[in-house]
Amino acid sequence: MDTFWSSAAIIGLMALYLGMGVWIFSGLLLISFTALGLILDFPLDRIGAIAKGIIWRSASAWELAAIPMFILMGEIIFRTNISERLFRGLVPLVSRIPGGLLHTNVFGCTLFAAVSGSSTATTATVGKITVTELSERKYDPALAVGSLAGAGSLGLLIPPSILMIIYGVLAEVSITKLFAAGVMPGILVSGLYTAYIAFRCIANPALSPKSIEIYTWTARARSLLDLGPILILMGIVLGGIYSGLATPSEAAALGVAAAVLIAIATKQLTVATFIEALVSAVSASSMICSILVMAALLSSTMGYLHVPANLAAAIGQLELSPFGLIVILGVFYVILGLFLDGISITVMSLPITLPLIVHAGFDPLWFGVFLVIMVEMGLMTPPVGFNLFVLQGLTGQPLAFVARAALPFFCLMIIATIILTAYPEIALWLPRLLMGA
Amino acid sequence: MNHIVAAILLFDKGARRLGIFGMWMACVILVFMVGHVLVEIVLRAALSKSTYVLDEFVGYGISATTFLSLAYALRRGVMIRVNLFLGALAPEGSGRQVLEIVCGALTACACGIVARYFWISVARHFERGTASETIAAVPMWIPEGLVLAGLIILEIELIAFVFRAAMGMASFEEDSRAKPMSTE
Repeated sequence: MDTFWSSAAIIGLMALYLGMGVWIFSGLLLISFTALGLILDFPLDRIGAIAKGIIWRSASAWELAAIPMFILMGEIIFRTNISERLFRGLVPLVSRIPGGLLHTNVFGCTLFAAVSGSSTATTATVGKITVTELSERKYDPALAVGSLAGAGSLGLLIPPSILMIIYGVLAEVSITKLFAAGVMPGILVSGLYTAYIAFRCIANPALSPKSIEIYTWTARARSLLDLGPILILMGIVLGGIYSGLATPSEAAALGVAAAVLIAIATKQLTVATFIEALVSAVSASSMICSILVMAALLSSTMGYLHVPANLAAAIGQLELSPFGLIVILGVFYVILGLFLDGISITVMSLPITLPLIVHAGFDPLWFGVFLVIMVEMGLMTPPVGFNLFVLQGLTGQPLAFVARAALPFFCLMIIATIILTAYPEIALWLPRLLMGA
Repeated sequence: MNHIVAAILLFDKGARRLGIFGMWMACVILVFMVGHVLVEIVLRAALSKSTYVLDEFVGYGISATTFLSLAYALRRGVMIRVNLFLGALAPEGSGRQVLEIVCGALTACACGIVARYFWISVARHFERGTASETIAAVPMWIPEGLVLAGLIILEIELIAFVFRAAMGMASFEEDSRAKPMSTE
C-alpha cells in the first residue's frame, strides 16, 4: 500500500473509532490492531507480541512518574485557600495599573501556572474568586471572562506542564529543557494580555471602575506574604529543575511534599481532602498515561506502515518553505482544536507532524512550545474548549458569550505564535542558557 | 428473567468493588512512589548514597498505577472520548444504547487481546524465574502481573459496562472525588 493509501486508511480508522465515541485509549489500540491486522496482514500472535512489548516498555518509563505526582501536587494545592491568597496578594500590586483588578486574572494565572501542570485547574482556581470579585466591582464582564479564558490556558505553557511531559515522552525531547523553553513564551503571552487589557481600559475607562482603595508600600510588601506559599512551591519545583538538582519527576515528588506541608501549616489538610486529591490524581493519571502508552503503540504501527518517513519525503517534494509548513500545521492544529482535546491532538498528530518538522529543520524543542500554544488556542475555541466550559460553569454565562469574550485573547495568542515563529530564540534562549541545549 | 437481571446486577456490583480495590492499590503505590523518590533525594543529598533501584521501582509503580486504576476511571467517566456524535444522540435513546454497547464490546475485545499476551508473558516469567537485570533482581512476573491484574479488572468492568448499556442503565457514576481538575 503506498503512502497516500496507508495515511488515508489510518485517518479513516481514526475518524471511525474516535468518531463513534470509543475512549481515546481504546481507540488508539483499535486503530493499531486494525492497521496491523488488516493493512499489514500480521498474524494475531505477532500483533499481540508487538502490543505487549510496546505497552510494557512505555508504561514503565520513569519519565511518566512526573505525571501523577504533578497532578497530585496540583490537586492538593487546589483544595487549599490558594485562590483567596492569590487574589489578596495581587490586589495591592495591580490596583494602580490601567485595568486594575482585571490583571489579577493574568498575573494570578501566570503564578498558579507555575505550580500547576493543567490549564483547566489554573482557570478554575483563579476564576473561583476573581469571577465574583470582578463582577461585584463592576468590571466589564466580557473583558473579565475573556482575560481569564486566555490567561488560564497558560497552565499548559508555563512549567510544570502535563502536556509538555507528554510531548517530551513521545518526541524524546528532554522534559527539563521543555520546561525551560516554555517560560519566556509564557511571559510573552502574559505580557501581551496585560498590555491589551491596559490599552482597552485606557481607551475606554468605563471598562474598569476607578480603584478607591489606596495601598501603602507596607501593604504591598505584606501582600507578598499571601503569595508566599505559591512562591515557595515555585521555588522548590522550578528551582529544583532549573538548578539541575532534581529531575522533573524528583521535583514533582518534592512539590507533593511541599504542598502537603503548606496545606498542613495553613490548617487545610485533612485525611479526607488528601484522599480526595489522591483519588483524583490516580484517576487523571490513569487516563493520561493509558493514552500515552497506546499512542506509543500507534506510533510504532505508523512506523511499520512507513507513514511518517514517506509523508516527510512527500511533503519534502512539495518544496514548501519552513514558514509555509508552520502556517499549514498551525491551521491544521486550530481546526483539530475545535473538535479534540489537547492530549488527543498531541498523541495522534505527533507521529506524523514531528518527522515533517525535523525534516524542515525546526528544533523539536521549539516545536514542543509551538504545539502547546496551538493546544492552548484549542482550549479557547468552541465547541470543544475546556476552558470555556470551566468559565461557563463559573460565570453562568452562555457558552457563546464566553467564546466571544475569549476571541481577542485567541487573536493575541496567534500574534504570540507569529512572534515565536519569527524569533524562535524566545523559546530556545533559556534552555540554552541553563542547560547548554 | 428476574434471575438474569439479578445476576447481572450482582456481576456489576462485583465489577464496581474490584474497580475500587484496584484504585486503592494504585493510590497506595503512588504514595510509595513519592516516598521512594523523596528517600532517594535525601540519601543523595545528605549521605551521597542511593537506593540504586529508583528508576526501576518507580517505573514498575507507574505502570501498575496506570492499569490498576483504569477500571475505576472508566466507571467514573474520567476517561476522555470524542463526544461529538455520541453527545448528539438522546441519552436514553436506542441509538445511543447500541453505540455504547459497540464501544464497550470493541474495547473489551482489544483489551482482552492485550491481557492474553500479558498473561502469556507473566506465565513465562514465572515458569522460567526471569528476574530484572538490576541489583534488585525483581522477579518479572510481579510487576507485569500487576499490569495484568489491572487489565483483568478493566475487562470485567467493560463486560459490566456492556451489560449496563444493554439494560439501559446510566453508563457512568458520579463521584466528586474522581473529578480531577488537572486533565487538560
